[in-house]
Amino acid sequence: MRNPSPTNALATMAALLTWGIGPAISAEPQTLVWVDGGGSYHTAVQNRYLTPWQTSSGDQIVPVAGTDNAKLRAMVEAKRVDWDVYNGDNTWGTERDSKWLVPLDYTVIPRDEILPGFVSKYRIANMIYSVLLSYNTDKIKGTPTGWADFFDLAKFPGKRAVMDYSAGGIFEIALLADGVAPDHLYPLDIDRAIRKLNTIKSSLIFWESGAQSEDLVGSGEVSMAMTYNTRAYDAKNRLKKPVNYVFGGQILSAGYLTVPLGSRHVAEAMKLIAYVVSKDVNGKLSAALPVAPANKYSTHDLTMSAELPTSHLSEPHAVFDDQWIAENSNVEESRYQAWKIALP
Amino acid sequence: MIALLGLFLWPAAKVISGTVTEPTNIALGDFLTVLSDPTFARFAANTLRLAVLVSLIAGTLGYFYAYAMYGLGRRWRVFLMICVLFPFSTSLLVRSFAWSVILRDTGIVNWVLLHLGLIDQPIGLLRTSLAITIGMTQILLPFTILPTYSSMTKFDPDLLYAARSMGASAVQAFWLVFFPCTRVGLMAGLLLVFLLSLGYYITPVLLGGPGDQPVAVLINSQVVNQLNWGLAGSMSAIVIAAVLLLLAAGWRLVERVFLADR
Repeated sequence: MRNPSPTNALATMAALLTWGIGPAISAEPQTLVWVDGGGSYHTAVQNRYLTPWQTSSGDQIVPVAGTDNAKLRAMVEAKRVDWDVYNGDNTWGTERDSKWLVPLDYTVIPRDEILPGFVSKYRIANMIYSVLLSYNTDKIKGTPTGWADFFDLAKFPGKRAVMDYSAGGIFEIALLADGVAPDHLYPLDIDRAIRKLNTIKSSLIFWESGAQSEDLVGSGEVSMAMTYNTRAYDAKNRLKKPVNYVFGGQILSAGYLTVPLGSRHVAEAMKLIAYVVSKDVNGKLSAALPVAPANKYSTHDLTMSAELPTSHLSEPHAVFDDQWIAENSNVEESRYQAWKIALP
Repeated sequence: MIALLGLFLWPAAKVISGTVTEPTNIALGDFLTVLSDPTFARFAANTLRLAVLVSLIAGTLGYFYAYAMYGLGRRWRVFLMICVLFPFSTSLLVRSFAWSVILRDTGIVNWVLLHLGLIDQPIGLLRTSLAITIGMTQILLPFTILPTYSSMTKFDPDLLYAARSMGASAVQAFWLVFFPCTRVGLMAGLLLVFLLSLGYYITPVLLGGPGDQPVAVLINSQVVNQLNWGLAGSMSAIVIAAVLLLLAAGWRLVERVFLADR
């Protein structure tokens, strides 16, 4: 689904230019390629992380929009790795992906400053976001409070948009709605989740991209959408759509920094990662987006306080168990596809 | 030939050999998993059904569109040709998205029907197999129109006069003389559309419902989300094998219409 973009071409050009120079001495300014998911996050990352780093280190950074795990794997196997820092989602970078990644250098990166559970051998979180319930305020009368309302078509009529990804939280929200305690979600009871999902199956619309989820709930085509808190925020505040959202029942997730195996600038990539997760820098992204710093000593932008997932931890919430998901994603995937293809 | 070998056959062979060697060396394990999986069968059936349906509709519409181009004057012909080529130059993604805008509940089709009083509330057009069929047919139509029109331009019109002078009616002359002489192009078009439809991904994803998705969706998910290239390779290899078998079975037909007139 991802198209070649000018930034990809740039990255390739940059890689070609530096090719043959060999493992340069790390004190020399280098050209690093940074890859993230794109969109408004991409711009914010450039402004808050990458440009200041370029100024202080002298390195050149080529930002690439569009993470692609398959492409990363292909690069590693072809031994032609153009990417140096890869900002994946919560399902990326566990032990399962050890074949494609370099263990992070925790003599350089401040591991102990990161919130517990958000750092491991191959990855370190740089920001915390969540999956939550958003709704169209023209279509919904009253205020939903959590996933039970998402599954209550009598109380809140209308279609529901869900993420089309087996490991994206669709089973989790069904179980939370069915009354499973947030800290007892895993191991997921997939049978139970599917039974719950079947109660609203004819009202489900599946979205492929975050932008699509904003469009669905913003246009009122669905009355409620399961989406990222950043997308719900964007629909309400930037696009000025009749959208609101609830943090009750949110599932916390994180974006992770990793270094592909075969990167030609491993030492410099470690330094860049250390910079991005450092306490003085990490929180700066929250000036642009409602994402919380992963560094527990870092302060977020005060105007964004109410919008951060971590400001609502007194309400019911769950956390993705990425380890369990990584070990069981093939089962989740086959159960999910079998369920979905049988839908009306 | 060397390009074909290097750029297509070698990677394809690698993908297929990967299915046997990955993740372990247990040969053919993934093939059995895929072949015995009812989910795969449903996705594959969707793919085949779509490909047959779209080729038949695009073939029929394309043939008569080309016939209109052939029969009309120069100005109209140019106009019709532009109508074919203009959308052809925009990206597949854009055209698929455009159809999703046209067919959605608040889209123009429902708007017109509502204002004409034909319906009371929007009918669900988007996320149906009808939407995929419409979208893919429109996108693939040029592949039947262009070869069909090309074979029509090579048709010698004197043959029609001869048929008419021998007492054939206009309809008879068309079906007994014109159509057999131009079906080569139609068959080429049908074959192209059929093969292209088998790999469609974006259009079914944007326009179809959850139950209408083709096998490409399943393969994509294994490649991108699961990084399980062994399983993805098995699925692809099975699809390729099925297509080759189909073509082998239909080869006599292909041979007759493509080669008999030469």
